[in-house]
Amino acid sequence: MKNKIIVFGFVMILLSFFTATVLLEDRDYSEMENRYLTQKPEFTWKSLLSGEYMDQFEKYMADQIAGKDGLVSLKTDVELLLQRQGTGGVYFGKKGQYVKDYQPDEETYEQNLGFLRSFVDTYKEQYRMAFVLAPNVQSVYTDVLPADIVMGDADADREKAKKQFSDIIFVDPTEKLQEHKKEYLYFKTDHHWTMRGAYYGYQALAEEMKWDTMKLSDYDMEICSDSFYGSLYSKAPLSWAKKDKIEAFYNVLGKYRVTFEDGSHINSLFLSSNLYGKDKYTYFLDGNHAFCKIQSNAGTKKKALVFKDSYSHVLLPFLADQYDQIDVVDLRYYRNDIEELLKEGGYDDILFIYNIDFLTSDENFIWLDFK
Amino acid sequence: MVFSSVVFLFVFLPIILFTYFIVPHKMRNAVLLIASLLFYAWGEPVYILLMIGSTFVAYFSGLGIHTNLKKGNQKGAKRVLLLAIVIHVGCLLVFKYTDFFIDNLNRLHLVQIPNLNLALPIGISFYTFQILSYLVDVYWGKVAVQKNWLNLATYVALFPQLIAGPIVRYETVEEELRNRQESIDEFAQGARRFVTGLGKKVLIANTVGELYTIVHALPTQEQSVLMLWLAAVAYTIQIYYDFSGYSDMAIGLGRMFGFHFLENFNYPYIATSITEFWRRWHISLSSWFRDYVYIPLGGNRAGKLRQYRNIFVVWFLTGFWHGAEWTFILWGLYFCFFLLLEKVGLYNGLKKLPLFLQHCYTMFLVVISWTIFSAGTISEFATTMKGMFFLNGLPLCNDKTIYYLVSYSVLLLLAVVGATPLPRRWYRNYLSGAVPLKKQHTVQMGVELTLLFLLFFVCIAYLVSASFNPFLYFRF
Repeated sequence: MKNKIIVFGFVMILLSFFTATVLLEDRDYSEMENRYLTQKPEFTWKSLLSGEYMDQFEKYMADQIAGKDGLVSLKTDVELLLQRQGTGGVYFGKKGQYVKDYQPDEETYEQNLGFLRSFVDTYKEQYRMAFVLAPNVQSVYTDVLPADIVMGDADADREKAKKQFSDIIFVDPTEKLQEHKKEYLYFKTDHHWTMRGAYYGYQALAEEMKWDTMKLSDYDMEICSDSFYGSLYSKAPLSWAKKDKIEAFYNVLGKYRVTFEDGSHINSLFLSSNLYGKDKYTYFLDGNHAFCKIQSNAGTKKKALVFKDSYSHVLLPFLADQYDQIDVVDLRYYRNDIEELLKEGGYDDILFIYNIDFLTSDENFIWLDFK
Repeated sequence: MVFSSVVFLFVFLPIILFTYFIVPHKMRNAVLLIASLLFYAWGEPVYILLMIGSTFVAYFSGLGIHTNLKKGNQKGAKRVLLLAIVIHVGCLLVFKYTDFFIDNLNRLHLVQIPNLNLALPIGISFYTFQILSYLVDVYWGKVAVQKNWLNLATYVALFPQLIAGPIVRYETVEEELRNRQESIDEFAQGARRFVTGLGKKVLIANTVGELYTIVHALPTQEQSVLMLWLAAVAYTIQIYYDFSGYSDMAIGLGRMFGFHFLENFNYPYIATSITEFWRRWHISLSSWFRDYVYIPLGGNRAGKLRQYRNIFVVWFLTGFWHGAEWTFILWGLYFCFFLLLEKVGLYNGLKKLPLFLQHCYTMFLVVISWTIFSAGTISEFATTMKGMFFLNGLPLCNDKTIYYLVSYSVLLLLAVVGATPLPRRWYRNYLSGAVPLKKQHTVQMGVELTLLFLLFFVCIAYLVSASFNPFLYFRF
């Protein structure tokens, strides 16, 4: 009896995966893992003889196998059970909080600070400059990870930047965020802060800039999605991971127009159609763009230029109420002449809005090198 | 192709099983042979010709030996055997060792010969040894000559054991090549064994092996003494679970098709001496060297000195068989040294010690041996050794060490316990103690089936989620 069940079960498992994989249509993209899947390799005699074809075919099968998403989750689950505190550059923190591994590249960081320094030195007489350096989740919630996990010292790295830029307005909102740590400041499954977290970053900046600001409760708050699985979940999808909610705050009196690098525009700071895709964080300002121009009815007659990473996408909507126009540059994609932009822009302020992880690892700050 | 791959599990295996069991008995060897050739060609699309060639050489020299023997021409038979050995060992030498010899010649600065850069045909060391055992056994009259090429080729190329062993002797499967009984029970036993082996490979060997790889990729200033020891233990676990997992899968697959291969591992890490360790580790290899090298050289029948020489030859070859690198030779001679030491008296001394100390002695030496084995070069090995014995100023311990230790603790603990017969014993005791006799059968069935299928699913999950899945025997 037992042996019959084993034989039946074993054969059924082999056959069902086989037939289901053959019958199911291949997918281009995995929503869950947030990446493109390997497609059926093209057959050539050359690739067959070199063995390349077989390698690709194995990858193709592994990616297109029936039930792939469930299997990937199962693996992550088992890893956590076996007390692997993390996998794939992601750690499992308390209360379902995913934490991205922080391993700064010291050399890149030094270089980046140098590039920024040269830019600041060149232009600090002409413009008011401010730097918002957002902390990672583990710097705000210091007990989120077990003590034995060894990560880079993000606090020390932020401190280093602070010293470097003591001659301009430098905002490290960590303390402000910690005062509100009971609130929903970071996504559980994504590496970004929430719009609520960004509000406190905005507050910290406003204090330094001497701006009048609205209270958070004066905004219209809407939970525009309750089923967001972020980028960190994609790296290690636990089957019991909780979905994130996305809170958005609207200034009901605000009127906005956002124009992108290709000339297209939207009359809002938000793009609702992106709430139906996988990366719902792109709801804010339509995600990464090389350049965008945010115009508003702020009536301050002020213009700003912002250099930023994606942490800014939830902060810029607040900032839009302080400037008639904000030009936003993402150095990863922006390839036009920056001097030209400055000459023609007529800006009052220049702001840098970055997350410490980005600042220590990205290699595009060289575009600010004006030495 | 390797067993721990999606293509093998969900394309190759279902198709082969289906074809194998619908064709009549007399066609089954042909199905197995074609399957085996496809299996091999998937990983070695070019060297497949070399392997097929080898089976023909083996086939005809087998016949040659047989005819000569029948005519009473002992000398002629010996000549054919020697010629066949030269061809097979020659192939092995050319494909596996040429560049090693060239490199070492070049090192003498007398000549500069360019490397051939031949890729090693996977499994060549295994199938060559199978062929040799067949030919020698025919010469010795231990087995009858195989007059059907298809059967002999099936024996040589049989995909379950083709690329990572065990080295199956012809005599073990002689009968089953002609006439074997597949059955539900055999198939079930085989499937169970296969899944267990897959679990050993995918869940334990691959995951623990990652730890070894991570540690040795770290810059020296981030390592610590304990961390290097942790890595050495991780490798010790990896190689056992990987290798014995492969053997389990091979034995299991064999059984599904009605073959009974001999066991290749017998809880090697519970050995209490190096002598015993080698009776439990890679049994098919050590018994091969015993029967086809050690004994023909005279074994222990020609005086102590000759015996020590024979032991030396065997262990030099055993080491060298594992790869064309000085580390493997050192590894073989390292064991040779301790085996001789045990032979001249250490063994008797050892047996007077408490059992615990005997285990410590054995495992200590075994862990060190894997440090030699896993190092790419002698100088890498020396660096690791220095680190492990406080000789290059590493700290005893650091934060990263603690992190790895905690991270891998559950897995390491499971792996250590799983390498002993304890889980089996606990399970039996539990069954006979806690469960009433009447229910034992049902409980046992429930527990085993659940575990088996769960294990299978988890293995599949690990396989499809791109992760660390190395093939350790590409140098063998």
